[in-house]
Amino acid sequence: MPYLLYLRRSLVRRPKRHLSLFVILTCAFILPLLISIYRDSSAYGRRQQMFSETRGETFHVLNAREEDLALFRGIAGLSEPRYEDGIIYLHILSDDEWRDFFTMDDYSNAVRERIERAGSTKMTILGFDYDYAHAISADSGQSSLLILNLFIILLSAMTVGSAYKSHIRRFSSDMGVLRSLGAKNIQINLIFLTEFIVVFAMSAAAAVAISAGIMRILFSTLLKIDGVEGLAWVIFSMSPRNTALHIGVFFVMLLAVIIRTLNKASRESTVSEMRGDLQTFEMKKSPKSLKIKASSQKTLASLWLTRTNKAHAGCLLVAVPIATVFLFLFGYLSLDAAYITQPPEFEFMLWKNAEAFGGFTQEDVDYVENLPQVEHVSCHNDAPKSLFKEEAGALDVDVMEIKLAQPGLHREAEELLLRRFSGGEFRLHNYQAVVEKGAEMSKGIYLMLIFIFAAMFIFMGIIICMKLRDYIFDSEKTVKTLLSIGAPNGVVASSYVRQSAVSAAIAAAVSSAVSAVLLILATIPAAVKPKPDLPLVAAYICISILTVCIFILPIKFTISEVTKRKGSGI
Amino acid sequence: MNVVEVKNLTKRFLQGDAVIKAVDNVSLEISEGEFVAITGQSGSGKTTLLNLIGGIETATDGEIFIDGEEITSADSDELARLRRQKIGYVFQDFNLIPILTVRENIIMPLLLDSKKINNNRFNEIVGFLGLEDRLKHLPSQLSGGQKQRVAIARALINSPKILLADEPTGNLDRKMADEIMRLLIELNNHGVTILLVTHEERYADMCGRKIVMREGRAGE
Repeated sequence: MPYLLYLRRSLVRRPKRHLSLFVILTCAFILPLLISIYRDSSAYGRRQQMFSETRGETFHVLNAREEDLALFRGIAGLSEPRYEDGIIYLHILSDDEWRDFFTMDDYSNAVRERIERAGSTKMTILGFDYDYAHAISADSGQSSLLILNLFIILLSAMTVGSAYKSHIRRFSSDMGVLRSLGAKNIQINLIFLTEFIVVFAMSAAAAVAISAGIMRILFSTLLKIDGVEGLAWVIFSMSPRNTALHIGVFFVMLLAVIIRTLNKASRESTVSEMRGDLQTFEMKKSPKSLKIKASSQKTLASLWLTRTNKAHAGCLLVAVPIATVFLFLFGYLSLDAAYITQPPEFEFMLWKNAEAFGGFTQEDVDYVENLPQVEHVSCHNDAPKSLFKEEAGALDVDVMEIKLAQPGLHREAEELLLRRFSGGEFRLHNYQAVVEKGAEMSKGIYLMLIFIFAAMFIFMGIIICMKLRDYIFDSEKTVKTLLSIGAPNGVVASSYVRQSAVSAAIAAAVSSAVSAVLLILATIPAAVKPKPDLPLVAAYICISILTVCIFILPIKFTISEVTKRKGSGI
Repeated sequence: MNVVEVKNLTKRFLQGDAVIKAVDNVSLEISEGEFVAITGQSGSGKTTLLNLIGGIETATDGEIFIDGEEITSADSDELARLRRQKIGYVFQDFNLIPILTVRENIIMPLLLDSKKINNNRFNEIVGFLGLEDRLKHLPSQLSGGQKQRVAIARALINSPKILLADEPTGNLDRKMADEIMRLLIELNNHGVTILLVTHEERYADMCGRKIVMREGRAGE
């Protein structure tokens, strides 16, 4: 009860601090939650794509007719055949047999034998292993995303932990008073832990609501991919278990950081706590010698840089990873979007299994050439044979590359092509549809990036602002002493701004350089060279300017607040 | 010649709805080489008067001249220059910069004025105040009396026209306080003009002249 009473008082006394913590925690949650939702959506889309492809069956007999059903009845160990849209479906009844590759091969031969016995040259067979047919995805991207997310959670927890450290320091006099009245460490710690749990619960709820809401909107309008051949399906899905797991991991990590901070704080002397006089500047015994520069503000700035730069170093630890991750994400996703939306050389690619069904006939080529939307057709036989090889054992594939007069007419052309080339021996790929979907998605990607950007920069901005304000408040005595011995306001203020400008420049330069290197490294496997195009350069400039502002503005405003404040000295 | 000249000086504060006259129509003159004590009870306005003379607070009415220069209409930069060049300030709680060594604290006014360090002057002051073996120490490694001696050295480094000392013995034990008082008297004997605020009659009596503040008014 006393904890809740103290918490209520504390919330009323310092609402801005608690609001800042709430916003920091909410924003810290958002990126891991977005990645978690994307991961869930990608896994769900992948499962849907696999189901849609396999229908949960072991064998698909293509180019079949309903009257062919009788051919496949009574194969021991296989289900009753099912007919749908020119395809007969069968599955192995025993899961164990289905999981076994050799048994599956035996069943495949049994089905093939029935086809051969019927003397059909048209029917062809596709087989799916157990995991694929049951949509048990072994997509390595899922585990990479999970590892990335854990890493982000760890970074966020450390960053939030440092903000909490500042928060706890501001309450050190309260802690000292409580301790002087006989409160045990555990009692004092419980106050802060109760407060943390309350703020954490509110932030987690807010972050889940915001992330889920925004991702649902983005997926329903721009980011959803289903039914587009050549693109992995992504359909909005949010697993409560995964979300709870992420929140749980975050909670445990943060709790560990906060308990460590509280334990450290409990070692401070009660008297210094009561005075609010914790050792702000942990000076080495023999500090570096003071460098006298051409002007007094330069001398002071160099003094702050060499002796009181701990807060700025902490800010750099927050700003550099966040700005780097954002710039890298921006660069990578824009490259990806640019890659997807590149106009294709041919709008359509039409394959035919020539091994089993013979190559394209002259009529086939004439049909395509005479379509009103078609500009040019090229036919050859050295195509990606693996397309059919894995699925049906064919080695010989004919390919028709179709160039349209106007790419926008691809829907009409696709309809006309499918009228003639719809059997199992054909496969039609609409590259233009992929490009159009990619262009639509890139809008979604940019919107998502704006959202991530806003969350990350609010997160970074508040933490840096909090740290730098605390730094100036901790330096208040030094500032006032300098003013009392005749330092002009402007000189003192500009010396602190100079110090911050150095950190800002380091943050902007390091994050730009590291993200550019990461971008180059990440695009090596895809053999894509990142080009410094306008949006990318603009993003780098914007982030640099914002980083500089985030470092300089809190100093500028706080120093002016401190110098105007009445009290001892000036 | 007058180093400080105060004419009809008034400082009013607004406390809630009530107007408090911290300094009420005070006029005084301090000549070069004088050692003047301002004494009085707590809340009598002695520190406010000192802060007005030092340009740390702004007057409501009246005029202040430091070495012939009128300061009540000066802007904050001019006041800062005045504090750097003509006034030395010593505070009750020392106001040393914790991240600077003793040497760096002492030379800070010179650095703020972009002046070169006159080693003879520096050594003279440091020797006089007995700080030679403490120059590389940080304030946290010094006793109260040593801190106050560093503050006095810092106040003297720019050869000010007047040394303003606000309860310089307030945070020290009697022995240390007596030592600081002895140093101030010795400084005055060397020609430094000093204006000392103290609530201790004993120390006020050691000064050449005593101004007693009562409810914002000054009397001798």
